[in-house]
Amino acid sequence: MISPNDVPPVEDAELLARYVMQSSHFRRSDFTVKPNLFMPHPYQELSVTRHRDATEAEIWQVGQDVAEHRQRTLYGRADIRALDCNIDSLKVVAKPLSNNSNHADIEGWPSQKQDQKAIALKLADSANKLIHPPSTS
Amino acid sequence: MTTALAFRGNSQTAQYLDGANQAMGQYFRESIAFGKQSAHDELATIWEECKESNWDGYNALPVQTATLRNTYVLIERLPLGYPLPSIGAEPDGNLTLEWYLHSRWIVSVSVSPEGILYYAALFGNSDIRGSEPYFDEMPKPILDLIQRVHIA
Repeated sequence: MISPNDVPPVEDAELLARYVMQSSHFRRSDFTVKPNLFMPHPYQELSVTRHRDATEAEIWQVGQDVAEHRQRTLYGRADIRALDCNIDSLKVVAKPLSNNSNHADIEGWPSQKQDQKAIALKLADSANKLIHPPSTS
Repeated sequence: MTTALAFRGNSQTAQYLDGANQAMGQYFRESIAFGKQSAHDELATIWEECKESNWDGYNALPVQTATLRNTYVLIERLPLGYPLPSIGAEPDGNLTLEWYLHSRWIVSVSVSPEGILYYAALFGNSDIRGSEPYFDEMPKPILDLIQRVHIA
């Protein structure tokens, strides 16, 4: 994981993980993720975890911890490149947490719901298909 | 029904046509209802999963009963011949109706409890977005987008 004492800014080439904890956020027919996974409300940012300096096991451990803490099922994760998040006013900003130094936010969302939806469609298009947790794949 | 009344008369032919028309009407009503059952079932599943807050693990708001009702009516009144949507939920408690061919040919409509529909569509490199007031029917601009998804 990234050292909490030396968190670099997010670079375009980095991969970001968005954890899926709702069954309707992916299509069972082809395991693509739905735009709903990338809608930012109730906050004006979207929470993601950076792959940088993290092992596969560490990335999954963060997701498992979040799901356990919130008493949700972890269905998997969708990965997206930081470069693909540079849509309109959006930008990815490092926001380390005490228990996840790889945490980042996708910020700069427009206030109008239909504009948020249009961006979420593009993010879902750029994201990889659902990746199942190791225990279920 | 206007069509049925047109067949009413005393002749055997008129009676036959009247009966056949009523039978066909019943058949089509049942077909439509049966055809939409899968969407209603999916709606019920999403409602069960999303009626409490934090249903997505990211502090989502609960889906309200008014949103459920609005979505049910929209599905029920979707014109004959239109494909059924896939149902979902958004973190602000809106329900979504999605028509999807692939990730760059898609329409998503958000149903709010206040009676506003928010929509966005992606057709290749162009996107279309907007909002429409909701009066228990899918507005024409959105019906046009749904058709466009499935004409491709």
